[in-house]
Amino acid sequence: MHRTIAVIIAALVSAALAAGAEKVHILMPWTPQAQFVGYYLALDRGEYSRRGLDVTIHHINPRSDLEKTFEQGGYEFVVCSPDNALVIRDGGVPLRLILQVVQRSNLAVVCWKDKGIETPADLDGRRVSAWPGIFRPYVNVFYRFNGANPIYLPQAHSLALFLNRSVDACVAMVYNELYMLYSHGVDENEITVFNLAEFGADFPEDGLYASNTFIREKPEVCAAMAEATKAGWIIARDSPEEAIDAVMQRVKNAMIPANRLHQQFMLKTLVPSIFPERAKGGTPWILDPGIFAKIAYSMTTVKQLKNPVPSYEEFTWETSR
Amino acid sequence: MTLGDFRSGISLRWRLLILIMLTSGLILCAVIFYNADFARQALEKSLKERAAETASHAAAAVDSRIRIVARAVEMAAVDNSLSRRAYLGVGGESPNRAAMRSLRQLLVTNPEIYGGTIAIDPSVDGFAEGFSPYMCRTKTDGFREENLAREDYNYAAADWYLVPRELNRPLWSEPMYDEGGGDALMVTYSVPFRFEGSKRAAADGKADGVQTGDITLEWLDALLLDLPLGTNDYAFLVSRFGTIIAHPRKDWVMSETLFSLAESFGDQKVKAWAREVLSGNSGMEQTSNLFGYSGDAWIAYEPVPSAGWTMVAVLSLDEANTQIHSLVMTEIQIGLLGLLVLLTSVVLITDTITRPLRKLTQATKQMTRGNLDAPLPPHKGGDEVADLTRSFAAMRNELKTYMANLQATAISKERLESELRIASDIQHSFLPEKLPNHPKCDLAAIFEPAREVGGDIYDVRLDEANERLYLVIGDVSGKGVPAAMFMALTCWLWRHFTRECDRPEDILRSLNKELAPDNNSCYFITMFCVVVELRTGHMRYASAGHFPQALHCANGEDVWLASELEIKPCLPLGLDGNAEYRGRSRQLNKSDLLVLFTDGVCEAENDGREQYGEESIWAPISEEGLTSAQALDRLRHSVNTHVAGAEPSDDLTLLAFRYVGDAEAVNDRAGNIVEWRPASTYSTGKMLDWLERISSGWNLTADDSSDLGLVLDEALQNSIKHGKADFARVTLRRADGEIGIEIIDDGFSFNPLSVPIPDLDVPLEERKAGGLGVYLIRRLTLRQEWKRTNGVNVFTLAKKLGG
Repeated sequence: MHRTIAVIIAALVSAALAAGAEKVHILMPWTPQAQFVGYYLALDRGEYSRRGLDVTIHHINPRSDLEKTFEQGGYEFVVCSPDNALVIRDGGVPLRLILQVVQRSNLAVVCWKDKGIETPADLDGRRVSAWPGIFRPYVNVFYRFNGANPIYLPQAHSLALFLNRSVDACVAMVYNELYMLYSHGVDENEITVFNLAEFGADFPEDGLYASNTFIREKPEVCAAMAEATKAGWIIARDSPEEAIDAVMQRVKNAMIPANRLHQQFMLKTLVPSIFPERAKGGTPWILDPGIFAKIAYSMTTVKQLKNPVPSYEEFTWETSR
Repeated sequence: MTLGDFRSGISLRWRLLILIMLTSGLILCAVIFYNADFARQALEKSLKERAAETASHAAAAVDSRIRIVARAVEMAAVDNSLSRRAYLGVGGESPNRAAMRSLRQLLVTNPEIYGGTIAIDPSVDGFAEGFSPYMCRTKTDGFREENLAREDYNYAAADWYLVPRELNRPLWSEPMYDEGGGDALMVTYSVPFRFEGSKRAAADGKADGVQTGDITLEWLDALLLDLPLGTNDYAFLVSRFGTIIAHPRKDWVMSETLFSLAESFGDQKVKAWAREVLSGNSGMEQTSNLFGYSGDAWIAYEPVPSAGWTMVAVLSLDEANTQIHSLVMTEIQIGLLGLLVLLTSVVLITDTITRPLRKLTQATKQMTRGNLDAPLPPHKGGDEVADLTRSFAAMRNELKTYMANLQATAISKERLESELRIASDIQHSFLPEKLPNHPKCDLAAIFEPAREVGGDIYDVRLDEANERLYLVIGDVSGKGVPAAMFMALTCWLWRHFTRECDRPEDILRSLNKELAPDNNSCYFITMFCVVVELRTGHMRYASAGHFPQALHCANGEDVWLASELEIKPCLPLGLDGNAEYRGRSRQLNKSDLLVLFTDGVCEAENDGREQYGEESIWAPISEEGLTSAQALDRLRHSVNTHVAGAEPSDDLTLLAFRYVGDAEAVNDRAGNIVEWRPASTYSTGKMLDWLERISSGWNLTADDSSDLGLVLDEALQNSIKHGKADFARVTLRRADGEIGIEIIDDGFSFNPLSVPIPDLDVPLEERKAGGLGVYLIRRLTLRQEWKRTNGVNVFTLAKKLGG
C-alpha cells in the first residue's frame, strides 16, 4: 500500500518536474526484459525525475544492429557492453562509460554432451555458432585461452542451429538462451555448460554510455543519470517482485512473448553480477583499468576496429572510475 | 440390542417394512452402482476414442494445410533458381519489381500464405547490398510491400534465413512475431535455393538465397475452435521444441513451452510426458489437473509430420463424470419413487394383515379381563388370518363352555365344602371343647384332621364325684363325612357308657354291642380306652384293635400299653357284636406320662415315604419336668420335622395325661406293701420271702407268719387265677394284736365271701371244686370284708396275732 502511494507520489512529482526537466532518451540493446529492470525502476520510482531528468527508454528492434540504430541519432544515452561501445566509438560516436553496471560475465558456451565434449579444448575444429557482432571478442578470447580453434557459424536470434544439432556448441546468455534451452525440453544431462567467467573470459557486460560531446555539455545530467540508475538497480535488488512487475508491464505493452518465471530467473542471475561479492573481485559501478586492458585485448581478436583502442581515461568518465 | 431384541421389540408391520425397504434399497444401490460403473467405462472408452480421433483429425487438418504451403514455397524456390537474371534487372524490369511479381503470384495462388520473401545472400555477385523484397497481405485484402534488406532489419541474421541456409534444407521456423517484417505472429517455411549454374554455391555448398512463405497462426485458432469438443475439452498445438503455437490461453502462445509450463506448475511428471509428446509419436495418457486445468482428462497427442509439430487434444472426464452423475441422480430419483410406491403397497398390505390381528389382540385383551363376549374381527376369506380368527372364535366358544362348566362345578364344590364345614363343626362339637381340670391330672390334646373332617376320635371325661378320669382315643376306618358321622356316634355312645361302666373293657364291649348290629357300611373303629382312679393312681385300660400306647414312667421306664405281650389282640369295634375285650390295670406313680395317639403320628411319612415310627415317640416326651402340653408340642414338632412339609396322609390326634396325684398318700400306709404288677409275676415263693422279712421285723410267731402266708396266697391266687387280675397289691397293717390285711386287684368284680362254705364232710373227690380256699381264709382271720370300688376289688381281712 505504502509502496503504491510512493509510486503515485513519485509519478506526480516527476510529472510536476517534467515541465522544467532535462529531456533525455536512452536506448536499450534488446527488447524489454529483466536485463534492464534497474532503468525501469529508476524511471517508475521517480529516481530520474527527482534529479531533474525526463527520461524516455527505447528498445532496439532485434532484427537491427544496436550500433546502426544508435548512430541514427536521437539518443543521449545507450546501454551496451564494452565491446559494443568500442565498436560504436570506432564508428565515430565518442562514447564514454558513465556507469559499469554488469561487472561480471553471464555468458556461457553450451555443448551437446553426446558429441564427446568435456573440456573447451574438445571444441577445437568443431562447428560452433556465435553471434556475429556482440560478445564475439569475448567468445574468441574464451576459445583461444582454452586452446580451441573451432569453425564459427553465425548464430541467429534463436537456437535453431544448435537444437537441430547443426552445430556442436553455441553461445548463450545464462539467463536467456540457456534458460530457453531448458524450456525447449533440453535436459541438464544432455549438455555441458562452460561459463565464460570460469574459463578466463570474465568480461563485464552492460554499462551506461553517453557521447563525450553530451558529457561535456551537460556533465550534471550525466552524473544525475548515473546516480539515479544506481538507485534503480538497488531497488531492483531489494524489491525483486516489484522489479518483475515493472518488466512484465513493459513486455505486455511491447507484445513480446515472455514468461514471468523466466524474468525472475534473469533478475536472480543478474543481481550477483551487478553487485559482485568482494572476494570475487569487481567494484560496483566502475570499470577496473586492468579489466579494460583485457577488453582492449579481446577487441584485437576480431579485427573490427579501424582505429586503435582508446585509453582507459578516454573511455571512462569520473562516475565510472 | 441383539437381532432377537430387535425382532421382539418391533411390531410385525415395522419389521416387514424395514426388511423390504432395506432389501429393495440394497438392490437399488447395487443396480445404480453397476449402471454407473458400466456407464463410466463406456464413456471413458468413447472419450479415449474421441480424444485420439480429435488429435488425429486436427493434426491431419494442420498437416494438410501447411503441406500445401510448403509445396507452393518449394515451387517458388524452384522458380527463383531460374530467375537470377531477372533479379539482376536484366529484363528491363527492376529486380525488386520482378521479385514482387513472383511473390504476388505466390500469394494470389495460395490464399493460405500470408507473406513471403525472396532473400539473396549478399555474397552473391551483384547483391552485396542485400536483397530481400517482402510481400504480405493487409487486413483489407490488399498486399503490402516491404524491403527486409535495410539497416534496421538484418535479414541475414534472421532465423528464417540463417538456419535453413546453414542446414541447407527447407525448414519450418519456430513461431515468431516478425517485427519489421510481417508484423504478425507467424511461422515461416524457408526453402534455400541456388541459382542455376552458381559457382559461388558450388564453392561453399551454401544456397544463394532463401525463398520463404509465411502463414499466420490465427487460422490455427479457428481450426482448433471447429474441432468437435465438449465444453471442458480443448486442443493445443506445440512446436518441434515444445513452444505453444496455439492454445485457448492466448497469453501462453509463444510465451510458454511445455517445459516452462511444467516448471511453472511444478509438475515434474509433465516434463517426461512432454518429451514423449515431442518425440514424434502419437500416444495417449490419462492425467489430472494438467497445467492448472482442474479435473481428470484423457490426453491424446498426434504429430503433424510435415512441420514437426504435435497436436494435443485434452478431453475432460468432468463431462463424463457429470453425465454419470446426472444418470445416477435420475436413477436415484426413479428408485426413490419406486421405493415410495413399494412403501405404500407394503403399508397397505401389512395393514390388511395386521388390522385383524390388532383387533384380535384387543379382543384377547378384553377376554383376559373376563369379557368373553368381546366382538371378534370378521373372518372372511381363506387366508391365514381368517383361519386364525376362526380358530380363535372356536377357542373362545370352548372357553365359554368350559367356564360355564367350571362355574357349575364351583357351585357344587362350594355346596360340598359348606356341608363339609358343617360336618367338621359337628365333629368338633363332639370333641371336648375344654379339657377337664383336676389337681391330680395334667391333660393336653392335639387334633389335626387331614381333611375338613377327620376319622380320629378322642375324648376325656372326668367323674368328679368318684375322682375318676376316662380317656379314649380311636380311629374310624375311612375318612370324610361318613367316618365323621360314625365317629360322632361313637363319641356320643362312649360318653354314655362311661356313665354306666367302670372298667374300660366293659365300655368297649358295650360300645361294640351298640355299633356292630346296624353297621351295614362295615365301618369299624379302633379304640383305646383308659380309666384312672385319680385318688389312688390306679389305671385300667383296654384296647379294641388299637395299637399299643405309650407310658413314660417317672423312673425313666418306657412301657407300651396293650402290646401283644400284654393283651391278646382284640377286634376293632363295629365288626363283631360278640367280640370280647380285655382290660389291664397299672398303678401310676407321680409324674408318669401317658401319651395316647393314632396312626397319624407313627405312620406320618416324609417325601421319601419313611414313616415316623413308634419308637421315635419316646425321645420328644422323655425329658424330665415337661407338662403334657409341652410334651405334645415337642412330639408334634418332631413329627413335623420328620415329614418336612409333606402333605399329611392321615389325621393326627394326640392326647397326653400326666398323673400329678399324691402318691405319698399310698406309700405312707405302705411300709409293708407289696405289689405284683403285672399280677402274673406273682409267685408264692416271692410272697413268702416278703412276708418273712416283715415277720422278722414285727417279731411275729412262726404260726402267725404261716397263717398269714396261707391267707395271702389263697386270696391272691383267687384274684389272679379267677379274677384275671393284672394288678394286685397287698398291704399289711399291725395294730392292737391284730394285723390288718388289704388286698386290692383289678380283676373281675368277684366277692369271695359269696362263695358257700364247702361241706367238709363230703369226701374230697365228691366235693365241688373251689370254696376251700375261702373257707380257709374265713377260719384263719377274725374279720373279712369285700367291696368293689373304683373298678377294683378291695378285700379287707383282720388276723389276730398269737391266736
